[in-house]
Amino acid sequence: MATLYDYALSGNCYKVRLLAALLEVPLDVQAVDFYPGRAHLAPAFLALNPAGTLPVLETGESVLTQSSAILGWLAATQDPTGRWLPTDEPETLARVLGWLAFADRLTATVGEARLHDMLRKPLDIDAARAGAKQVLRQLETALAERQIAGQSFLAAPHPTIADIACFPYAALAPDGGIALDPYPAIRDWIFAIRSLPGFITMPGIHALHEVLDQP
Amino acid sequence: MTDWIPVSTATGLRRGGVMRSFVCGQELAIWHSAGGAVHAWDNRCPHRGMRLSHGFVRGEQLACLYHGWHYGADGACTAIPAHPDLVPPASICVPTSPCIEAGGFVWVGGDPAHPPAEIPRLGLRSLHVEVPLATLRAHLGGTPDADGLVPFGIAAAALQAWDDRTTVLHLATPPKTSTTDRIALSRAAEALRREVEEWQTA
Amino acid sequence: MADRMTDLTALPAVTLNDWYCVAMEVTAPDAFDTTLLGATFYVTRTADGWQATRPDGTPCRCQTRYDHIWLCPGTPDRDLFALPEADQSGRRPVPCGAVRVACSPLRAVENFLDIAHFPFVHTGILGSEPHTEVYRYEVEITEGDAEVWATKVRFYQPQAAKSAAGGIETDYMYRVPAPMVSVLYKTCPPRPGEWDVIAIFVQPLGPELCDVWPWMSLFDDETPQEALIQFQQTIFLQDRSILENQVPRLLPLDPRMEVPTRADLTSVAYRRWLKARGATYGATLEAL
Repeated sequence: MATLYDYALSGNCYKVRLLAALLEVPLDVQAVDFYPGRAHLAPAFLALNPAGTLPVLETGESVLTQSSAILGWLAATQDPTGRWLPTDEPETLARVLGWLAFADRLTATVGEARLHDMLRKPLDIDAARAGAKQVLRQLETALAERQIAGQSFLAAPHPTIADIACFPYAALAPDGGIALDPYPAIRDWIFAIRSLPGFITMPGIHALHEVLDQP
Repeated sequence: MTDWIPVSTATGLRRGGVMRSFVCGQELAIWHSAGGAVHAWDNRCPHRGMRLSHGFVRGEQLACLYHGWHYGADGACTAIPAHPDLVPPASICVPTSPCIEAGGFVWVGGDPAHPPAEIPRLGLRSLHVEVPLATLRAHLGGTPDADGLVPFGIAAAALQAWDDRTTVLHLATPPKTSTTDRIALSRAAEALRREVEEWQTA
Repeated sequence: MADRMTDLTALPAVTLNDWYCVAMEVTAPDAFDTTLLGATFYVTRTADGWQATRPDGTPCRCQTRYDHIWLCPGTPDRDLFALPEADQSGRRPVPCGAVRVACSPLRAVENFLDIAHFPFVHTGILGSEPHTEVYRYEVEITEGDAEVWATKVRFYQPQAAKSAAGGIETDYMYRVPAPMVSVLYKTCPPRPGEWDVIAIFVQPLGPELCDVWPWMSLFDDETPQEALIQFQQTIFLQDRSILENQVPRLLPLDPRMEVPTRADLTSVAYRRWLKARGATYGATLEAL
């Protein structure tokens, strides 16, 4: 079983946990005290990942860092359907890769605003929010056009790792004082992802209560 | 002239969905029941003040996310999960506003005896534009019809003052419009937003 | 955010002379500014321990207790609340850092006293449908209006703690020893007869903004510290999005403003207790 070095409040770590849950792949989850302990910058962790970033996935053969890279590895090795990372459809694959890059812009804006508002990280909050508005508007436009074309997900008629990479920080925007009211297409897409079989939550993204679970 | 304020396109709020909106400065939870009825309520659970727009729809009821209190179509509390055997007193009630779907949009606050015209349209999208309503109206031009709609290409545009600084531009097209034309209209709306926001900043 | 000109003397004595958590001891830098009640205090580590000064440069009292630094912005009229379990051998202290929340510090405390939200906010961890019933429990305000206590609280939990595997009926006691502190005692699966202690220490930055410092004292020799911290952070962060969406942000003390039920007896007592002692910082007495 692969080992995930994880922080429960990290949207990037959640991406890995979420895809693993959707693929029904068990992970050995090791908590890293990112806050308040700053253990990701301690020698023991830096020996594992010199960049000091989370998440890290130990596969048994290699040590993977960067959430998008780990999503790619999970999809490539653990998804027999090939739908989550459609390598045999060049155009879809290109769209997926484009969204993986876009996801880092969400982290750098919406994610930073969240760290500021929630965990008191010192930064220029106005700049983070202004950046967040631009990035969220781009996501909204793309999703609105997908809706007009009758599609619910970013890159294909079904969810791909593009959706998983972009979902957490978009959905967590309110944690950073950024309301999602202006983004109705994002709202519908968040609901579509929360409705996927096997979906798991993280703090700030609530469980779907619409359908009462049968005891 | 009409008192109805547009709050969404008819397709912009999925069945089973709930969203926040503002009408005449008042904060509302707008929700769409499983059966297709639309509702506009004060956005506050009477129990602990939680915004109902964070809640969830179960069938024809809206429930508060905090403690799961359920409210029926008339706004009256129907269930308090902490006390499963209790029949909630009629006094526990969320204030409601008139809300209907007509002509491709969802409308709030008018006289139900005089609904907006029932013209078949397909919702396109809603954009928040960071200028006051009067500014956006002036940029759009055109003559408003009886329901306040103005033409935007082949689409109909409905304007909602979100607050003093932001206006929501709701767009709906004739039902048979092609996907290509609808995406072109969406992009034209984005261009209009860029232009009017830049004009406002300058 | 903090206004250095905030007139502390305009605050009620009961608020000014209380103790507030301002930092976690092990992560606190040797010198730092901290916001409390709208004013900026300066805290430094000296050979004689932590010392603090008010915005006007005058010194004020500081102490370390329960793994945190506590500051009294005025002149303390009583000791910091006692938590005897903290010194009991075999317990492990788990300070969890601070989480900032845009809500009244009193709303944060009140939410901590509430169990009826478990199935909806902490779904699958502290509660789950259809086990939503809150059974009758007891609430008292102790002698001399000292503290609010709720006892004999029972609730079904699908995963009562990090060390709990399946669902159990869990017993709780809740305690408010100060307006901005809440302590809960709950069934301790590995040690029947003992209680795990979980508290929040709320630092009021302003009437509608606070830093919440969760702290635990547990009998648990097995779970890694990181996992315990993240369990508690997960629970509190689930509450945060609720707390930031209550209207108004201030805690209403007018009984007409919000509708309680029998499940809310603790919150009713807490609000009454706050009103009686004039601890209205973070509260509103007006109707909406």
